[in-house]
Amino acid sequence: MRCLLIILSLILGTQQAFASSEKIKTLLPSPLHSFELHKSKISEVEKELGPAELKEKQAHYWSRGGLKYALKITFDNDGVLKSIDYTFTEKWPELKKLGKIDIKKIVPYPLNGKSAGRFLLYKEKEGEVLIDPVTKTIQSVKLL
Amino acid sequence: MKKFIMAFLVWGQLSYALDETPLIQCDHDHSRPSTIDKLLQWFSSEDDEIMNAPCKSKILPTEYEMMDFIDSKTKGSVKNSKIHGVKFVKEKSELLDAYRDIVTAKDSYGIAENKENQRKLQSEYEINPECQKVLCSLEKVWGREYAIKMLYIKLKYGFNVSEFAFDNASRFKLDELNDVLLALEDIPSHFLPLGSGNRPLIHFERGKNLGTYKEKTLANAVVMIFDYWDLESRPKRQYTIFHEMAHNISSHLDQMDRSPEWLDLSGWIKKGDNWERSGSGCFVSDYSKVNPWEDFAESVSKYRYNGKAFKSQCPRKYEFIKKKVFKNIEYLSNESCSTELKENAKHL
Repeated sequence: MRCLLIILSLILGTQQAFASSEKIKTLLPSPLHSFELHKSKISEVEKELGPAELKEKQAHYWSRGGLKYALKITFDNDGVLKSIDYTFTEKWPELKKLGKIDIKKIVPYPLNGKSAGRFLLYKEKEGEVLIDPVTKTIQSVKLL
Repeated sequence: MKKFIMAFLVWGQLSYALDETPLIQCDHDHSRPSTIDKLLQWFSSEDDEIMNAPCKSKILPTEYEMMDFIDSKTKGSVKNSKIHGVKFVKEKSELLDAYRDIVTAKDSYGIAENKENQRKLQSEYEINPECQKVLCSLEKVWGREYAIKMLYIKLKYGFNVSEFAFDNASRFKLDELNDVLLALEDIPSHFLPLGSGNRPLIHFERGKNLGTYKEKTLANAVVMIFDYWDLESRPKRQYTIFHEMAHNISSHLDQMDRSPEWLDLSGWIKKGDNWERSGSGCFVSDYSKVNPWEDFAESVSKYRYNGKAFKSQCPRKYEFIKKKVFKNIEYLSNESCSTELKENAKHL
């Protein structure tokens, strides 16, 4: 019985983590959905997105909607996908697309200045979402 | 050897001039050309420039003017209502809505209601039965002057300055609230109400700061104001509020600070968390070089408070802000802004 409970909690825990990860991932535009952190290789990414417009060490950049460089993807030393950072270029998705959010996970976006800008950061273990509190929209999504 | 020393000196001067970190202003340092002094200010305008800016609001609206405005905005139906234990009789619905926003506790960002922090004003201040109207109820809690200004700011500008409405908020001192109001009065009327939808404009809990901020952070665009702001000069306090309003103006204008046109003007390029500048963009202050949205807020503030210098310093950016933000109203002289401002104010 104890063993069953442990297995059950492991399954549920995994599902919860998956759901949380998916929550942020689903905000990304569809061509990026097929990529998986720590699994997808550079060749697979390039097959989908074409060659990067700019490469700086492990960071590869692509422009989107006229914004240089709205998409940043990093790879580890073995060329495996490490992180995705995407900035929305046209209409920003509404904050409610994130679903129910834990207000305690929202922190101010720090800047090295006297004023602290206009964005807030929503932090999950699996990634970060930059929020515009004025319009209650999402500016960018980072999957880690 | 001589050539090497000369080259070293020339390089040293250039790197000094191009340094992007804020420089400490040094009045007795006459070796720096005055133009560079001006270009390397952290904010776009100095105190005297702010206070002498054409059409700058220097006098607060009178109680009569504020009440007149409040009356003009509350001509809807009347009804009886009960809000967090306080009863209202035959009160205007717009005032009831404003009251509800002012006294309903939410999180610091105004996103979700926070029932744990909800104040019980009826038991704390014994509002009923003496008061059954909104203004009277607010006066019981904040006093008449504060209550009228609070209601005026809520109805005219769409910002909520109530410390009861948001977590981690402290009450403004009256002189602080006056600076907030004077800065708000500098916003072009075609943006009003800028903060529609119960937007916070709060003094953050005194003695505290947000963990991720530097201790010298003055404010943010949420809008939260921090202790360090209190210590600034009155013109700079007003400038800071206006700067934060400029961020809100950008959101109001469909994220104008991220439009391709704006990014092109300064050659902004995004690389993950970092924004880099390419090409030869013209910047109004050191702070404007941080990222496109600070560039925008500083440019809008420079336009409002230091238009002449902006026009000659960065003509392309000036024209962009003039057309896209200020609907061609210019602040180059009192004559250039007063007619159009008056005309716009009629439509409020």
